[in-house]
Amino acid sequence: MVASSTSSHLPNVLAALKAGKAVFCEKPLSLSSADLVDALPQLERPGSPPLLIGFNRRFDPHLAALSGRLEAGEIGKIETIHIINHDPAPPSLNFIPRSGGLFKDFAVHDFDTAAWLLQEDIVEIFAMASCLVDPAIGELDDVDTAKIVMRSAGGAIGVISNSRRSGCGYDQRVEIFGSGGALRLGNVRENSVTRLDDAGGSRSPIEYSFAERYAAAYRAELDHFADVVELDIAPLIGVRDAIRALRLAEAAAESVKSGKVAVPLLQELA
Amino acid sequence: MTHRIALVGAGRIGRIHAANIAAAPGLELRYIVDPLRASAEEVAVQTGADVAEFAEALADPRIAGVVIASSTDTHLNYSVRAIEAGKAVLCEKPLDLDVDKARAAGPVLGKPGERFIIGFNRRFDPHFLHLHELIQSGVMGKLETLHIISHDPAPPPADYVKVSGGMFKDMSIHDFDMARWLLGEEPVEIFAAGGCLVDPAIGEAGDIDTAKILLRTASGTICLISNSRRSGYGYDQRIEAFCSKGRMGAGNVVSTTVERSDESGSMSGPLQNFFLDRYAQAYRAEVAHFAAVLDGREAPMVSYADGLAALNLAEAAAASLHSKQRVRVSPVE
Repeated sequence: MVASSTSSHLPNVLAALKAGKAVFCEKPLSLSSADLVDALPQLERPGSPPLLIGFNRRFDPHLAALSGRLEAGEIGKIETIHIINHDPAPPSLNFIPRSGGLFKDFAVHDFDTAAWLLQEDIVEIFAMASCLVDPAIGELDDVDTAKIVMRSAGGAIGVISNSRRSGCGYDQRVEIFGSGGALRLGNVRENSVTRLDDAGGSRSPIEYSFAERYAAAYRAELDHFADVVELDIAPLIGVRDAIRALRLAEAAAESVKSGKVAVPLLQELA
Repeated sequence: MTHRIALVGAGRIGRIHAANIAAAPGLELRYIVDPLRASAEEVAVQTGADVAEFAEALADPRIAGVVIASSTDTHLNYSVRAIEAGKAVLCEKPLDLDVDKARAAGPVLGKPGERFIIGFNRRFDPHFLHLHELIQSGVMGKLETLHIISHDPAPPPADYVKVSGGMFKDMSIHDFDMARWLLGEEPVEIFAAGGCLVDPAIGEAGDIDTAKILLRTASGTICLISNSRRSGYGYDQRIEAFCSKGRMGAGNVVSTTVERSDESGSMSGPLQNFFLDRYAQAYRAEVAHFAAVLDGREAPMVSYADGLAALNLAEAAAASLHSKQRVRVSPVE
């Protein structure tokens, strides 16, 4: 299980695979898609033990239900998708310079989720970003607020909304609009109590952070790793998924600079 | 005091205004003007008004206000003539389909203190008014980003699409106005992505039916607009404001509050189907505002400059869609 600092992920993974161990590695596997492409021959050596990348959201029971219902065709053909991913509060400033930036550190989850739910490659990316939460994040050359617009190979259009600080817990919502209606995944609350008084109704806060919101996902992720090790089944998320999400993050950063739609490099992943 | 009103246009939206003017305290619907005489007569019978030519209505000194709900290409001409005749005007959106033409009417319609209201109905919706008030109050801190979802229930006929001016000028224009109003700051850059995903006939008519638009202001605030010509589940009209202390959202209005639950889950009622239902109250409030302007009790809440700025954003969105890059929005004045 590799859950060390990001810069040590790839060396640790390579060493463990070389020693013949099945490996689970936290996201992101690396902050450089080029490094991962270079390491592909070692990571995918025939007979190599399995490698599972920890994109926790794929194991969330709510998102899994959404994905299943999309696949069952409940809302027809997918036309557009909205993903809201806002952190409760910004990370410590020490983390920002080694985080890889908002897109590789944070939006990378949403890029993986979007590609997974759409079951299609993202072929165009545009991003607008600002530093609105904490000027110190801007001084470290990063942004804390972003909206990303994507287009899939089949023409579906997606939007990702990212903020480092919601002020109201861990805002995690997905909405998918299809030819036959919409599917919506809301926030999970700490409890289901509602109070009503003269001022109106008040509900409990939404789950505060990833540790609470995705607790079940982390357990399911571990169960899946156990199955991979014990039953020899293929990992649900592999190195190519990690590279894809990273390439989308790189394209988003490029778009912010150029002001143009960027085309992520995905050819060699086919 | 009762103000006499002439209504130009007896089509779908004209009939809404006709009923509201007829029912509004302080207003009397005097004339209906429409080149389709039968249509004008029908509305006149329903409301007790008379059918008249536009010039005839303008020449009547007892007419204080003109409500313009005719086809878009006639909005500017009627508005300018009515203002020049000394009448107050409530004109349906959009001002025109061409920014330059709309700008040319500035000396008449945009004069300081001129009683010209552009009918962006959503500004009069009580839910959005409340959201606007809360944003302005700063109770949730500073507004950082805004999401506007505006999806129609079902696409219009392709014949309408051809004369509509395109999705940005016909549909998104409402959202551009809401964005400017709620942001309280002018967008300085815009990006738009769009496609034809709903109905190939719309694509063949040279338009899109699905769009995502990003706007950014000088202070860095970002607004997302989502548009679709077909939701498949009613009129989806939501606005969410993400602020430094938390979020505020105006949700959809449902047609019934009855919820049914069984072993397969819970079923809530459908959304109100379209703008005539969802904004019925807003249209009434808009006409009440017009009466207040005629009384001199209120200044116009939505001006010529607002109509022009929204149109300018629609043109910038089209430029971005074609160039696949963000476009700087130059101010129009």
